[in-house]
Amino acid sequence: MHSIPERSPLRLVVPGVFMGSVQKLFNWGRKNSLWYMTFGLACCAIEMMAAGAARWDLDRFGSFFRASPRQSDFMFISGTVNEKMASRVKLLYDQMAEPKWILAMGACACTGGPFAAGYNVVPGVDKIIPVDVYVPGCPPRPEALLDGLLRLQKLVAEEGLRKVPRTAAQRAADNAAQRAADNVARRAADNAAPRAADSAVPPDADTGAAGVPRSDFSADGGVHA
Amino acid sequence: MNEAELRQARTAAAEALAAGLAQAVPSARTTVRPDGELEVRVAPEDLLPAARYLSQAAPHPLNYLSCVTGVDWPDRGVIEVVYTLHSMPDPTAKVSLRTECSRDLGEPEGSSRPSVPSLVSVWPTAEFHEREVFDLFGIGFEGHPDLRRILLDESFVGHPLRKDFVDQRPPHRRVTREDYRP
Repeated sequence: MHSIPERSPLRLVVPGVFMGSVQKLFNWGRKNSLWYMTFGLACCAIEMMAAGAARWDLDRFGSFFRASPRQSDFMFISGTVNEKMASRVKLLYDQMAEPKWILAMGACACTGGPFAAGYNVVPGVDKIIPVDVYVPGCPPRPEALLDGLLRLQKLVAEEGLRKVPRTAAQRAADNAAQRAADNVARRAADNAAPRAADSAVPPDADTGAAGVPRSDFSADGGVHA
Repeated sequence: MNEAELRQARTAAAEALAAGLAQAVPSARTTVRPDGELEVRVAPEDLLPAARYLSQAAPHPLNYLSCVTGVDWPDRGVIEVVYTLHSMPDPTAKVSLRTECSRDLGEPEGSSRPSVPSLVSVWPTAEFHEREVFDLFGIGFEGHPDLRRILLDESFVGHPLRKDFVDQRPPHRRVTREDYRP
């Protein structure tokens, strides 16, 4: 009989038939292929690189450096975030696809650390983006980082099918749909109204010369076109 | 050469340099420190002639400007600008060139800007150093080709290395997944 891993979310019902929920199956895949972004801020980044390299080898857990936020699942915030960098960190976070997680590495990323009172320091990266796992230390040793990664895996395994925030593209699509609906409504209203108003519009209104915006849903059904 | 001999040689070189400078820029006040470092204090209007003289001084021109920084003296109402000079031909030479200007930014704050002449024409490396002093102390440099903040964000308010600087950022609040807005 085939054996399945002890921690698998799948259950062998009868030989050849496995059962499990889609949610658990997805989470199983996600937690074992957490790709993190190639992004370092300060001295903690050196320790992160050590954790990723051969001696501690995050690859064992399916975690790799990924050189694009578009293809990353999570990000180590490895170092002090200052006010000038904050907008860039936020931009990178926004560019990552959902679902995404953040691991704050070291005292600075957690709370601002020794620089918390600095005039240009953000006291903890959780003041600009949501953080899932905090790994304190100055810097944390790779072992602590591995522990943080395993905790993150635990979080991912328990993840629900959460509602994904709307992206800018989705918002743009929704707005376009709303505009089209408005135009349809306006056309219906125009058709219902007396046509006298049309004669007041000069024939070249469609060119925009008279300051009348061109509309794909013009009341006269595209005669000018 | 042991340490005492080295100190003696540096002191002699500094005294020679001070004597030469006194001829070129009579108003410059010079002090030779016990370790042989030369300290030169000039008024802002004499800064450029003094810098030009030092950068071409024989036999060891001070052709390397390693640092420009400021010192805030609120009780005297001035900010001191300090230029640290070295010489490539003579690594033991070190000169501290100093000048002063008002620290008053006007009322309302920022309506006027005290300034000293830029030394970019003498040492091109001064461009970034002077931007740093401008950023952190709010001192202008006349003749600087591109005077804007270098370390802090353009939106930063104030000059943090002034002793009366107050951090006016609103308090930071923790962001959660629920209230995060891209």
